[in-house]
Amino acid sequence: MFSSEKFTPYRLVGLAVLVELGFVIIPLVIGFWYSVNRVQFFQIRGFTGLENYWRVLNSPSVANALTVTIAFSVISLFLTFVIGFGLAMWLERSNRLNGVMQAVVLIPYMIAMLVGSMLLKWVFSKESGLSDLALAPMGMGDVSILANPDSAMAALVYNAVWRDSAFAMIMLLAGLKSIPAHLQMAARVDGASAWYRFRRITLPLLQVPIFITVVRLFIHLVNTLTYPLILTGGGPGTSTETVVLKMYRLGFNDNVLGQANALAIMVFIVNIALVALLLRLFKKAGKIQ
Amino acid sequence: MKKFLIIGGGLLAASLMAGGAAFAKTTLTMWTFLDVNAKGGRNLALKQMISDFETANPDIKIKVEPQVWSTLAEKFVLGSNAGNAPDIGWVNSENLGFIMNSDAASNLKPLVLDGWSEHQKQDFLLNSSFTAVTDGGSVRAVPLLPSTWVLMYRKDLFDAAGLTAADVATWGGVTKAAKTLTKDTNNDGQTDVWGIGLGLSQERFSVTPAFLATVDGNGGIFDDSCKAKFNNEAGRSAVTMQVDWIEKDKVTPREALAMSSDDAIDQFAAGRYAMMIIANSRYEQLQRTAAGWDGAKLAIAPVPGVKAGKPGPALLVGWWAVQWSKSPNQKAAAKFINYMSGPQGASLWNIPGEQIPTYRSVAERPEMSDPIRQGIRATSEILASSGVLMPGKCNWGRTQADFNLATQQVVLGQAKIEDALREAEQATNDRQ
Repeated sequence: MFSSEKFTPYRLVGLAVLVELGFVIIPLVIGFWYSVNRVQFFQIRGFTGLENYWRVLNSPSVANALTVTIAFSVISLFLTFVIGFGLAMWLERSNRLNGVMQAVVLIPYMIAMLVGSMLLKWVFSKESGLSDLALAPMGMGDVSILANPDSAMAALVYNAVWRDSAFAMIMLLAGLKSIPAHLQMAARVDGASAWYRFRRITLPLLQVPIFITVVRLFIHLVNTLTYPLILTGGGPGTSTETVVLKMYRLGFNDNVLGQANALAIMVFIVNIALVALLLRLFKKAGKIQ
Repeated sequence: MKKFLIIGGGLLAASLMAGGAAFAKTTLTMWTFLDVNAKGGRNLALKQMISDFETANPDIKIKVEPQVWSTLAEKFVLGSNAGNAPDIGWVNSENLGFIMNSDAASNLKPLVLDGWSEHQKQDFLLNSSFTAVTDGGSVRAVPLLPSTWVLMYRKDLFDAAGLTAADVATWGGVTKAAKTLTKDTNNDGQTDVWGIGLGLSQERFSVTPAFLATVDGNGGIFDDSCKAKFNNEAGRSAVTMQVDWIEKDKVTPREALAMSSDDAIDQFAAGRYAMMIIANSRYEQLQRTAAGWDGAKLAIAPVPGVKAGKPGPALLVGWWAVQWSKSPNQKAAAKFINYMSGPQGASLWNIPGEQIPTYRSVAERPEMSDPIRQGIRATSEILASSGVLMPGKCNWGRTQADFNLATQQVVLGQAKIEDALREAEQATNDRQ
């Protein structure tokens, strides 16, 4: 019965559905169940309704983490995108030098996130890092990048931009390569300036790659744990403690799994809302169908 | 032929089954941070212990599954909840709360302790430690590797400055000595050696002077119901001391705000600090990794006290063995825990493990007077004179990080000290 062609689509989709069920839906349901219970020392001690959500929403440290996350994500997204786009434009032409440069630019992206952040921590460390060698001759020997809230945030943004610009570059470079060369050539013959060609040909034909890159980067930056956990540890104070780091600490350090899951569910909803908002904005601007 | 094959096959199967029964073994699984295949004294000691035990008990086999030390207690409880915890687990003192507040661990009183002879009980040096893990007459854990935090200092720098251990018997003395020891050795306008090192990060943290001074001045950090109580004069003085070291006295680098305990210990080994509160178990490693100074000049002093004449608290911490309450091998697991915590096990933990002896008979053996064991001897004496137990039922595994955050917030001007400590108290209470 199940071998008939009628069931072929179900069989093909079934595996994907099972994987989705096992790795997304069931954990989500368990997470939600934890979020409405008091969980102490990893044991459910009683149903509490929405109390965990209320506590998380009223927590000043979560509010601070939200502010930090917005600042980090928006600044990092802007810089990553601009640099990634610049690199893609620069490296679009196929020649031997650009081939080498593409490989060089990709190095940070090829390094594991954890290793990259640890390397940067050593670079920025005043006591043992390279930054002190660079800053001391400029009379800034007393400056500790990671012990100052503003410079620690800058270091965190630098980490994201350093690593993720290559991702933006790959995505946008693929988009640039897909633009038919004859369009640019025809415009050039017609005497169009480089800026005009960029505005009227390149940018419109890159709408979809730009949208995908922005959405993918934004989701990544909002949800990244490695950068703040390894590079700054959320400090100094709580100046670089992002929402995801807060969630990690609630769950794995403070062991208040109820609150951690309540925050996780809220972050999940915010993620969906963000993507929907971005999709709407792009649609409204007529950039995607 | 067919009949012959059937009979032959049957006989072979029967003999294999009989043979299998004769050589049946109970395999005990143990989660520990040690790795019997790795180098190091404690790993060697455990390897030897397992070999000796298996020789004496051929029907029991020990399978070690090394784990990340910082999550051992959590994993044990989670494993118990899921029905697949190991027969034996190791738990550090800071996380005993997980064991004491769950049903994951067996009562080791009937299984292990009631079997101890009167002589063994008299010989054991840590009998008082059982009060931390006893609940309603049930003993949930047995101490294996005791340790504590001590003040480590560079004797070469102390000698050059005319200082002795007596000068750092109080925190006031430490501040004064740190000012003397903080130096710009090459006159480039940068401090090269700081008086005292701190790691104030919220990740990979450890006990700091503020925590110890609070425990000392306050008589602990919890009330009888595990409610945190340190937003008071003792707590505020202790945190202010650390803040002043960074901001006013300039004897600790501001970078300490971003340093983990391990980062700061690395800096100490690199010769950047003259003093630091460090776990005694790091003594041998520091001697070995000292760079730019002679590791033999590493010295140990008791934790400084808040007031003169009374040393600060030497928190009795370390690693404990627990037995899974639902283990199908209760007797065999208890037998191995008994072996690890008994005189024979303690002897191996001491040498080659280089750990603090847990039995008087081990502490008094000739090998302990070897100069290379000066660190272990000094720590043993400190524990004997000023050892303090933290309540096992209270969760203080991350309270040190709360103190670190409070210090950071005050240094950065993000909070007043009262507010920072109130937040730290609240964070500790939320984990109970």
